Amino acid sequence: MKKRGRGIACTYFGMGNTAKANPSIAFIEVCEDGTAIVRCGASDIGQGSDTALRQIAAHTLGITPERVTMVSNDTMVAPEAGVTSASRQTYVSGNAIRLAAEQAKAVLLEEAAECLKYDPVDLEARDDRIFLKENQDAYVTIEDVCGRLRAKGILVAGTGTFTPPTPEALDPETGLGVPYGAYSYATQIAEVEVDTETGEVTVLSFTAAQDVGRAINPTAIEGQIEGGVGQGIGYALMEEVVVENGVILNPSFSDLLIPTALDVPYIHSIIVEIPEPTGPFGAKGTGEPPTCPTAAAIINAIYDAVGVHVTSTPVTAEKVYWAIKKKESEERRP
Amino acid sequence: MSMRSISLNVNGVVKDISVSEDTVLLDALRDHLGLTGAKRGCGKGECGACTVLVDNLPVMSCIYPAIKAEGRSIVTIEGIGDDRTIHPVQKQFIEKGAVQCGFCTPGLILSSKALLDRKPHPDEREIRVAISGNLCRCTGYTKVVEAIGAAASELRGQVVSSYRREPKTGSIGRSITRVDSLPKVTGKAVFTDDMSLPNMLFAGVLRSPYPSARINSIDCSGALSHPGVRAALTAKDIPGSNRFGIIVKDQPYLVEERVRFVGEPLAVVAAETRELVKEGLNKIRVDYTELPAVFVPEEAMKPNAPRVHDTGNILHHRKIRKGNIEEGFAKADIIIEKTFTSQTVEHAYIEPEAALAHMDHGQMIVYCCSQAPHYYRNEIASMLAFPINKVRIVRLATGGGFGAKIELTAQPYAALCSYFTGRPVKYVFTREESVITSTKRHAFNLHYKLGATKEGKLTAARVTIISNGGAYASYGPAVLTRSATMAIGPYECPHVHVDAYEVYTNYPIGGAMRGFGAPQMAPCHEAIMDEIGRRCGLSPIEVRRRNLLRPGSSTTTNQVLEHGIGALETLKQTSGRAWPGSDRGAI
Repeated sequence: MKKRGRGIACTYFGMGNTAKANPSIAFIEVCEDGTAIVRCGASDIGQGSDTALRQIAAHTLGITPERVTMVSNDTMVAPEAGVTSASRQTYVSGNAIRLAAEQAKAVLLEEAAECLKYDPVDLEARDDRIFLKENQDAYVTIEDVCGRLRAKGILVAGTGTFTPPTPEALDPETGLGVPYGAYSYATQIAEVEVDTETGEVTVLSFTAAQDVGRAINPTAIEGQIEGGVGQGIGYALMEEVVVENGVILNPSFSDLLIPTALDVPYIHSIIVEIPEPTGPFGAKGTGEPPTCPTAAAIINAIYDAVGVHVTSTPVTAEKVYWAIKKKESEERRP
Repeated sequence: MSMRSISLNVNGVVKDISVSEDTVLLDALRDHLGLTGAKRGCGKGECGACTVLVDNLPVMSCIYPAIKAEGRSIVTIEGIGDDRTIHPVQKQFIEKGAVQCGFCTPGLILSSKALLDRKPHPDEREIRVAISGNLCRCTGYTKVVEAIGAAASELRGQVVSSYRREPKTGSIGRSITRVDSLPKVTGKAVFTDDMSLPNMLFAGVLRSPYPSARINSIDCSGALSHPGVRAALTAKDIPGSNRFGIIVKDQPYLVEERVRFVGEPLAVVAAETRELVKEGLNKIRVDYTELPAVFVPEEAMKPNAPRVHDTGNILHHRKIRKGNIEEGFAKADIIIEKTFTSQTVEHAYIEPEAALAHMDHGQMIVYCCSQAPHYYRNEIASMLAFPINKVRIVRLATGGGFGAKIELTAQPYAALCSYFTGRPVKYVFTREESVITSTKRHAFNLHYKLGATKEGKLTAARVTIISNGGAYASYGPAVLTRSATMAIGPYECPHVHVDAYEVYTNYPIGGAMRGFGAPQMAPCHEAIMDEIGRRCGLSPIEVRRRNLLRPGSSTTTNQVLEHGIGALETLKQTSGRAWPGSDRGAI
């Protein structure tokens, strides 16, 4: 018989290294033509940080993202931005880049103010121009501002550095303290079908919501949520490195199973935006949180379907089958 | 081995190359024709990264004999579209955000193209079946399936539009396309193994077959006298420090005296070809004395257990003591206890670890895949006794990482060989080498005891975590601390008592993996949360709503939260969409 069930799980995840400084530094250069080069050694390993960080720089400077070039991959050119881990690059390096861009923008606004004969606080930069806030017809292009500055012998650049506001290490005896400057929150719901004859579990649908603070690039965030859930489904149901006497018995993909397109359902991702004041434009990191609740939601869904609670991962068909048999024999007992 | 000349028709161009009977099509394309868009992820036809089309059908080119391809039409990613003539499948992969690391992308695109060429109206199931031989570790396949569906529409002449609501001005909140997606869908993105330098050598590492042993001697003379071998190096050849580690510097690049896990590096060989590397490694003689080993952390914690390190087997004990745990249980109407175990997990990025090192005018340049180039820089400088500013790490396209590409893998060995030979040296892991040697998500043994009032509110939590750290620390102590801080999930509980132990064993090394100690905890606190709900007559939604963190809540570590707390909102939005009747509260 096939039985269906639904399970829910909530988790949270601290941004950045635990109770430890983890700084990033960024350099920004605004070129003569109003384009910008951002140098920040945040590794993009596929998650899309080069794109999100480019957007943060562009938004801060008021230029279009196509006019920003990110250089993140060469330690001789891009300064240290810590490790791509702990869901920290948007939050930490994003802040460093925002600060660097603000420093460069201050130089631009000062010059634009002189040009437009207003105070810098009356101006705003966007769409490659600097406008008078109250009169959108009064503007000067960022390219022109850069040209004027260069003629005066001023080149436009900025430096920013940021480490999460985690003041001190946790107390060694009580573990109390402030380990993270901000947290991301996630809730996921799995719907599964359990074959009671075989114990096989199929994930039918999956819904995953994540509080990302502010979505810098919604499609990229959905990609992180979907990919994180995909890994979570593998963790829940099939993935295991089998070790015997220290020897890994399944070092190739024939036995080391990870999900294929047939093991993962369509994943509905929901982006929740509760702005985080310490994040760049309210943003928090998104890489790890979606992997955390997935297995829990599936395990709770299996309980909902067949009333058994498997307490070891991966929850293989064999474990589910024997748990169902055990429950049935207990129920038959007088 | 006898070589023969064959003519290959690749992307409409016929070229003659000389191959042996054993040469696979992937090597013919990559090594002989310079077409590096097809990737080597496993070498066994299991991952699909090497997919190309032969007579319009997708084949795994890493197991397809090159001679069998003679007289057939071969299409690679380079042949279906470039920057100017982009194919609708490539275009939709970009538009739908189906590209992340990009290593599996060319194979996925070719499998998709083969499907759409023969089936213009595929349904979701048919799309999933068509790409089921292409493993992707980044995307969860949702956007890939969407992209293929959109490409099918486009190929049928339908207009494919995007309905996303976006801000009119500024860059925040806009789904601009990734800066690296065009090179990734056209096969032009350069991953480390796609790069070669003139006069380049190849490297390989001799690894221990024993989990615990003393090394009496390593004799490299046979390797050094083997034709084509240019270096055979052991620990004594390392000019600087032979210790690395991101938290505790407890791990040698090459073992001096004591082996602690199966696969631990003993010696490194550099030679003119990959074959000669294998032959050289086979000529090294190692004299071992096997030592007692311990694999189970609870065993390793006993006083008379074999010591993995002289400092003792308990690497880290993290305590959390919030409130008064006895008082918390005294206030509980319900107490639930459960024991859980979690498995060892492999990151399984599709790109195996790779490095190409090159000494240039006194500077060590290492091209590689990495999550942590500045960390690599500092460690390699220390290994070579170089100042930090004489080591340059260039991260090429990186085919996923998920935590394990923080670790030094191929890079120090390539750098060491280049330092000694003065020539560029490339070292690419096989899939098996990647799995055997890379750090893993730690296996945990967990014991939970949670107390709650009859209204379903948590009063007390006692959690014990025992983590199998494996042979070296890697990120272990930090993973453990995060597990402790996340032990009861996003809920407020006034009395919390956590004891978490990271234990050295002769097991594969545990390290950073996506979620960093939190995925192991969630099945425990979430199963118990459901159980509390059942006992109190509350729905899974309501019992969580009563306990979730909100402004003014104090966390497990007594941090009072003030802002940016979306826990309740994520509960509301998921349950609103996927949990019918969840607004009714109690069951």
